[in-house]
Amino acid sequence: MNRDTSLAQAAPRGGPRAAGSRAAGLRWPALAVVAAIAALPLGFDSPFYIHLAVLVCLNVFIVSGLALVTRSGQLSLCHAAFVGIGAYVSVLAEMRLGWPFLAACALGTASAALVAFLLGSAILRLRGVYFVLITFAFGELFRLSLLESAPLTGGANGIANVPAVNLLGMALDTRKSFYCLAALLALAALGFLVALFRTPRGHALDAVGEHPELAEASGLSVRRSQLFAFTLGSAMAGLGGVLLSHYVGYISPESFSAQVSIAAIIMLVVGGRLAVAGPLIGALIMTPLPELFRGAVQSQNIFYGVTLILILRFLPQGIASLRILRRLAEGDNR
Amino acid sequence: MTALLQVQGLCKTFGGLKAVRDLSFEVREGEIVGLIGPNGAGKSTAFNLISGALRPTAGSVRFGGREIAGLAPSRVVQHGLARTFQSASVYGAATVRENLFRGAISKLGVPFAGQLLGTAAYRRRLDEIDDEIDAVLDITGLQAVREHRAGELAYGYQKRLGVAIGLATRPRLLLLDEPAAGLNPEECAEFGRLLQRVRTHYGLTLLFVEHHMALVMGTCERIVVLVQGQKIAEGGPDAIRGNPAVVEAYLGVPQHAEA
Repeated sequence: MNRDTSLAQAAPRGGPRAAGSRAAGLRWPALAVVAAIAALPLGFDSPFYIHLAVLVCLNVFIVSGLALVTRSGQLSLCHAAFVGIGAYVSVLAEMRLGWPFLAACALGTASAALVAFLLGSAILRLRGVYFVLITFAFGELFRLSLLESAPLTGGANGIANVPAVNLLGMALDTRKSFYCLAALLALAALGFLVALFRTPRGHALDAVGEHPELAEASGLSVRRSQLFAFTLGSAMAGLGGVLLSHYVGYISPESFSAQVSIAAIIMLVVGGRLAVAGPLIGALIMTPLPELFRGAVQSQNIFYGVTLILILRFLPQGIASLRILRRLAEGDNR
Repeated sequence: MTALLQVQGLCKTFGGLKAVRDLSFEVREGEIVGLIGPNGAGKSTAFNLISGALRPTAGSVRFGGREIAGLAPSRVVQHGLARTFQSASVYGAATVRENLFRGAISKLGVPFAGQLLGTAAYRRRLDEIDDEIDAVLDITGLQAVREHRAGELAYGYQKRLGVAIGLATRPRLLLLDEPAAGLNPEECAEFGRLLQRVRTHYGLTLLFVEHHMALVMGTCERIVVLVQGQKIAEGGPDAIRGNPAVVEAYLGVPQHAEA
């Protein structure tokens, strides 16, 4: 039950009282504007633009999951692996076992959550660079085992002809119909994160992310908070992977490499890692840009690097920290 | 009356080093007790063993009749034993009020689903916590800076905020790690008065590890002296001041800056 549409800087500025109050969150005009913007791509004629809009939405969803993990103070370099777990498990359940889409989707998401829970239980005691390195290793392990188990996964050839999303007999096989689903999910993810970071559980995640020793000394279990964030964030990646695979229609191990994890981190950092709107802004900017550089594939990475350096130098909190954006999002809150 | 905190036969060994050896003492409800000793006497180790940050090699720590040795610090806090840090430990990016709210969360007692849905029980608890936070802000003198970012406060205020966060967890016993470190004499005296005020208002029990003799002698009712991991004396401030073993321990080692 989230009626709040404030997207930027989820850290409540009105203090805990505002965090709990519902009335302050009612901002229907803002909701209408967001809905109108979200509906805009439906008017596009060019399939390419709709395709981009779909990718933006899926990225918003996936990067929001990553944002949850980083807010709790850990940086995961295997986010793409969880996208991959969702994708492979759902595709295999559907194509090999003949499961209906919704069941396969639930299985894919649950698998990502379960693996994240088990992995997190084992490695969340590590901090900082050690956690990053272990998650990187796990991501590589996942990719290599996909390559090795060719009879099941098709190895490097991947799996082609993945059927389109089918919701209770209704196939979302056109770009526009799929966009509706992707946009709804992206908005739901943003809404959920806004609501989450207004609850004490969300405040606890911020506390753990900002100062783990102090949080632990004030009765907030660092392990439990981080495990919660890691499991939930990775489950979001899994669901994003289910949708991505059924939209693109093809999956291969390379779609879930460390490079993809890093791209997600870049989107988050560019957008703003401490704001719920960060993934939205990051996905909006970073998803279409490589397409502009199609002609110069070689320089894509240089471009990525330069953008990242500029952002980190001038906007360490990401674009969401720009004052004008904060004002827009907070609006009548003042 | 049984003691609130009972430390019995506590030992901690790091490799070959015996940091704490067979330490036993008690803290009764409502007391202010100081744990003192020269540098390297094992005060901080003892402190960390009690608060749960370290697991003892042997011995027991009972709080309110319950064994707490080896529990995670967050669990210890939920039993009613909170700690503060030596350096000012606050959430710098959050407001003073938000800092206290984060301290109060562990005692919320509403499941996540209830929080997300905003149930009546959850809103009632939020209001109660709000009142508690207001009371803590008043008593610690932080009401005027409640909406300031904690990281922008002066050091003395940050130390006070550290105590306030501990109070927000609604403890029965507050462990203070060198509360006077980094404070000037004036701030230090004010800090001592704050501790007295807090104790009277909340009926709180205080145990602190300290270097600063004036604060210890002026505030504590009972003092435990540690030297090389062992308790060498225990008693009231006057008895401790006149204890030859304590005098020797303090004068027999190089002069301490704060002592």
